[in-house]
Parts: sequence; structure tokens; C-alpha cells
Amino acid sequence: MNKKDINTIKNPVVHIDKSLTKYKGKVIFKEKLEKANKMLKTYGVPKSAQKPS
Amino acid sequence: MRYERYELNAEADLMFYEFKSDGPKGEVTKLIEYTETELKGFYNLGFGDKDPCTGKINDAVITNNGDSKKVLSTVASSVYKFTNNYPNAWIYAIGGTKARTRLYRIGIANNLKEIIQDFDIYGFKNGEWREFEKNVDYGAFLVRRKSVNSYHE
Repeated sequence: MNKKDINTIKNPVVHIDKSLTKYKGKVIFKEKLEKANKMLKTYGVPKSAQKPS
Repeated sequence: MRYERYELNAEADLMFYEFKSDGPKGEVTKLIEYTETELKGFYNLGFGDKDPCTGKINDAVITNNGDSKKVLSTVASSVYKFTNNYPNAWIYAIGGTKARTRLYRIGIANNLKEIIQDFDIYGFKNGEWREFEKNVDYGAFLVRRKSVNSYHE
């Protein structure tokens, strides 16, 4: 990988932070997740979701 | 998308990201969450501000820190990072408020030419998912990475 390819928006440098392990297994945005589930259950997904891109 | 971005910290599985917005309102910690929905392979993107006193996350607050483009660009970079590692994932996104959903739509529309090189993008309108078009008011968004091998700027 070239130096110019590092830390672009498409390949961002992300630091792994052990303190964020506290969020693992939790759902922070419960209300939004419930709405997402309701939306997907009610209206489904795009037809192309059934075939690979 | 060539705006500046904030540095991202992430949990090891890349489901949670934190970054600090810096502006006239001071430093504000922001959290991004990817949570799998009841539909396998479909992940909800949650995003909000962390209250420094309570530690609670609020996705409806208006931060007004003068850096909305930089913040959106940072969130977009997390989408790339997440889908680099979960290439078959679909990401569902909706703002905590209608205004924020509109902000997402504008952000996508303004960078559509670049984004569609890497993602299939759908907007939800009138009860159905449609391929994203500019100048259409959508209620929610679904995106999927086209190919992890084609990320060249």
C-alpha cells in the first residue's frame, strides 16, 4: 500500500481503544434500532439485496 | 469526499467509534454505533453526542460546533472502515430528527459522484426503497459496499 493510500476517507486510520470495550454487547441507540427493525419488517429491503453486487 | 476528518477511535470489533468534535462550543465527544438488526446482515447506524456529565448519548441534540461537514466526513469514514471489514453488510441510517436526516441526504447528494463508485445507495420514500437521486426527500437510507477492492482515491 502506498503512503498516499493511508488515512484517506476510504481507508481511514482508526485507533483501537480498549476503553470502548465497555460498549461491546450493548445497544446505545435502542429506539433507533427498534424503528429500523420495524421499518425493515414492514417494508422489506431493496430487490437487489437478494443478489450480490 | 475531501473534507477534513476527525481521528477515530474504535472498539476492536469496529462496531463502536468515538471521536471529538472541536469548535466554538468546545470539545464534544461523539459516538457512532453499528448494531445488527433483526434482519441478518443489516446494521443500524447510530450517531450522537456524549453528555460529559451523565455519559448518556443523545442523537437529537444540535451541537452547533461549526464543523458539520467535518463531522459528516468522519462518520462517512467510519462507514468505509466498517464495510472494509464487513464487506457484505447493509447499513441502515436515519437521523435522530428530520433535520438530521435531511443533513444526511444533503451530504450524500453533495458527494454522490464519489460515493456511488463504492456504494449502492437507496432512499426510502412513499413506502418503498429506491435508488438514491438528488433533490428527493427521503426518510431513511440503505447503503451497501460494492467492492472492497476498489478503494482508490
